[in-house]
Amino acid sequence: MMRVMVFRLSGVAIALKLTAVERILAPSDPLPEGVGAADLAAALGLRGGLSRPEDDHRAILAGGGMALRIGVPLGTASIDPRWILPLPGYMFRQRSPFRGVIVAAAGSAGAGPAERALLLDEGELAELSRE
Amino acid sequence: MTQRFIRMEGGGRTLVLPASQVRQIVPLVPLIDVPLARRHVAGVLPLEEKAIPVYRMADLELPAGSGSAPGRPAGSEAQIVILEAEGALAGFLVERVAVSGAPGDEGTTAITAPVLMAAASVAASPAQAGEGRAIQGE
Repeated sequence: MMRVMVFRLSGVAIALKLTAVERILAPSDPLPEGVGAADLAAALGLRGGLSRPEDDHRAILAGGGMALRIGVPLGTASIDPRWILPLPGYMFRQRSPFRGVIVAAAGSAGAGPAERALLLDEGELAELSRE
Repeated sequence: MTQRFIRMEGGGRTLVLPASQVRQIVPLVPLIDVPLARRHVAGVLPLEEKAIPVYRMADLELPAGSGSAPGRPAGSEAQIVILEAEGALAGFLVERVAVSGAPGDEGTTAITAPVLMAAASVAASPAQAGEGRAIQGE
């Protein structure tokens, strides 16, 4: 099973492997010294949504060099990697940053924090952070 | 045996294709929004253990004579027609769908699932590429 963290960013449920996250910072937590900051919503072209910027948490990615603004954490879930539904690459304007869709009813033992979410590819995330 | 056809209307277009190429017709349900998807992608529908891309017909670049003007505002789409070709599935938002015994008449365009699905998977235009990717520091 794969453990993922699910968060809501600009109205979109997004998941990320827990092993790709070193630490979560609350909105009021200061950014540790030497850690760069990046905005995932901007990287994904997300605008608007219901979340308020002041509620946004940040995830320090494994390795500790980058803190990504992730919106509001919803919780964690265990998913069976076999139930990650891949997305066709031709749907995207550019290389897809997602591994696929996770659907709680199909892949987890119980109801998760979101019924379905887009699972980020942590490798692509590192690439995004470098841009 | 008489061949059946599916007549689907959406985005100002009326397309007719063999019913054998239609996998399923489902009522419109909330789709999963996919960031960085191309303009004609309405979202993704999880169905039968697959994530099926769903397209807006108005935004597709179809062969000449297929009617409509790309970019036409979405109508009152009510159903999703899921097509199958070469093992792949794709959904199309439609306003109306009907079964017909004829391959088409005036005002309709005869098409096949492979052609329609190929139109949906064409490369992004240069204007669309590059949007939204650059990450912004705080």
